[in-house]
This record gives sequence, C-alpha cells and structure tokens, in this order.
Amino acid sequence: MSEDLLDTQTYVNSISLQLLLQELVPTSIRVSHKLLDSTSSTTSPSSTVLFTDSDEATTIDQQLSSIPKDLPGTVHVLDSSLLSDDEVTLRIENYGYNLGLKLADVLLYKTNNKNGNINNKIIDILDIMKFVCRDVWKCLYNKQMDNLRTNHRGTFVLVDNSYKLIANLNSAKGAHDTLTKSKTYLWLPCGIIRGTLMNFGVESTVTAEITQFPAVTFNIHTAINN
Amino acid sequence: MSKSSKYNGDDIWKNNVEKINSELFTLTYGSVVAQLCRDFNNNYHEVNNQLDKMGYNIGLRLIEEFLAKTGVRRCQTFRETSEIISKIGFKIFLNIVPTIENWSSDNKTCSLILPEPNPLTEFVELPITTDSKISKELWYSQILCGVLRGALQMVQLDVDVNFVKDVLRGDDRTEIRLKLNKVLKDEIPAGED
Repeated sequence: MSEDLLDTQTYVNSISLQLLLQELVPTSIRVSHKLLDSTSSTTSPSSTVLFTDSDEATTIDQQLSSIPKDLPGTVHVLDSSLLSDDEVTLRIENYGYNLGLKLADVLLYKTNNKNGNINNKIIDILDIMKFVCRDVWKCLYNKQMDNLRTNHRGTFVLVDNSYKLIANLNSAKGAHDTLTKSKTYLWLPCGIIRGTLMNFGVESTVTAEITQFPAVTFNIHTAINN
Repeated sequence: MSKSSKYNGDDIWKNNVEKINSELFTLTYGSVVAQLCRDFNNNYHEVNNQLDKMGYNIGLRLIEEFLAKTGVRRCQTFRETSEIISKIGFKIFLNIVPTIENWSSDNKTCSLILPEPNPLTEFVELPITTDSKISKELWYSQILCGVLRGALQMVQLDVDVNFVKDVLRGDDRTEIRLKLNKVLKDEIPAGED
C-alpha cells in the first residue's frame, strides 16, 4: 500500500488535550471579564492602561484576573457572575465551532483514504449524524456516542452516557453547584457539533442538557426534513 | 550511566498512555490562539499572557499526572531535572523529545530546543507578511512556558521559563530558555504534621 504523505499518523497524550480543554472555560471568563472591564471604563482616560504592552510570567501568587481570589490552581474564577453570561458562552461555543469546522475536513479526508473512497459515502443527513456520533466523537473522546434518535423532521437527539469533559468535575459546594458549572462546559461540544454540520452545509442549533450527571443529551435542530 | 535512564519515557508512552490524534490537538490549540488574537484585537502581549496563565494552571495539574505515571523521584541536580523534562515529560505528554544545550557555567541555565514539526505548531503559519507586529510580539507556543513554570513550581523549583526563538517567527529554531532561580524549601502545609 502506498503511504500518503499527509496520512502519517502522529499522536499525543489524551491528557494533554483534556487539560487544554478544561482551561477553555476559565480562560473565556477571564477574557470576557477583561474586555468588559475595558469597555465599561472607556470614558476614563486610563482605559488603555488595562491592556498590557509587555509579557509577564505567571507566578504562584499572582492574581490571574481582577475576579476576586482568582489565583493559579483555584476554581474561584467559576464563581464569577459571568459564568453563564452570553459573552462567555458564545466565546466557548465559538471555540468549538471553529474546531468542528476544521476537524470535519481532516476526518473526512482520513476516513475516505482508509476505506478507498467507496464504502463511506455520506449521502443524507442521517449519515452526517452518524459521522458525528462515530468518527468525530471517537476522535475527540475515544468513544462513540451512545444513542442517536430522530423524529425524521430535522430534529436529532444524541446521547453520551458519560461525557468525558465534565465527568471529572466535582464542586466542593455539592452536586447542584457541579451541575450549574458543568453547563458552561457543554457549550464547547455544542459548538463542535454545529461546526461539523456546517462543514456539510447544514445550519443547525445545538443545545445540551445534563440528564443524569455525567450523561449528556444533545438536541440538534436543523431545517432539513429526512 | 546517568540517573534519569532508570525511567523510560518510551516505555511509558507505548504502554501506559491513552493517545489521541495529534492533529486534533493542533487544531484545538490553533483555534484557541486565533480566537484570543481576535478577542484582544491583535494585542499579542495580552495573548501571550493569557496563554501563559492557561499553561500555568495546566502545569499545576499536569505534574500530578506526571508523577503518578512515572514515579520519578527527586532530582539531585538541575541537569537531571532538565533531562527528565525532555526525555520523560515532553515524551509522554506530547511525544517529542527536545534537545538540551547551551548550559551556563553555573549549571542553572539551559535551553530546550523543540523539534520541528511539533504538535503545537504543525501546519501553522503566522501572517508575518500582512502583520509585521506578529513576528515580533506573539509567542505562539507560550502555553508551554506556563506549563513548565507551573509544573516545576509544584516540585519546589522556582524557574524562569521563556521563549527566545521561534521558527514561526522566522528564526532558525524554536528555543525555550530555562533558568533556575532557587530550590524552594519543603514546607509542611498548615494543619498537617
């Protein structure tokens, strides 16, 4: 078999990605906080001071943002009132959207190459959904989606019985708090699914809910009848 | 035989690590950096700093995984530490082994040379022709400095970590400079004997 130049598979530790994804929510909150801070004070002459013009190295006792008690290694940033603010959730959804858009290309190329381009034609919307459930989820979380349902009128329900990104979350303030905070993390996979579908030219809205922690149900609405 | 050779990064990588496609990692990181650049309206210092903070937080958590997987014991010298970072740390998390060179005479400062391509920057190109500022200000892989600094802090090493060269900027190689400031004293947390 001839080896494709682009198809030489390289790997990294899944923990590396896991840790990176886990930081997306706190970072989004910090970014939003900073941007809102700077717009709310545009009237004052010191507004430009908020943005630094030098690189500074993070240290253990350095405040990471002006959110109270936001020190390295702590989770106080998640107590910010911005946690479920549109400004933050849209940002997180956008990270996912951009990722899904590009990831779909890479995966399509790879699966087509593997199967000799014949067996793996994606024809209708159900095939696209299966692609999300199998290939995309497999690539992201090393497992497939556990359940796929549709009403054949453009609505799909995808269920992951143990969604990896939130499975390890546990708030010191109890189950209820864990649930509230986990919700923000779900905007990332919502964006990934929306981006993947968009890659096929399908516009959709995707929402997620936690049915039985850490089981997650994704509701996808499209305008396509199937 | 050097001491670090009793730990084998290759073995751990092969047998004891759950792996994912590195392109997925590259894409994810790329979309983070791109979004930060948009968010901060191309203020690249601000982007560097956010990446550094992300990395630092990751480092604080990553060290636990590292110690659990490898069982590495306390290093005697900073030279040994750097070997472990490169041959075991980078190996089991990113599957690359940076080379270490440029030691200062007091053995406290050295450089990590990242191999090309590496999982953070593969297929990445900065728009250096349309944005002259980017090649002077953005450290695309700044997150690594944060990770190293954070992880080393957790094993009582106060180390300065920063980029001095990056192939993405047009330099001949990608180089991270490490400087050991001091070894922190072991302190027993309050309330524990």
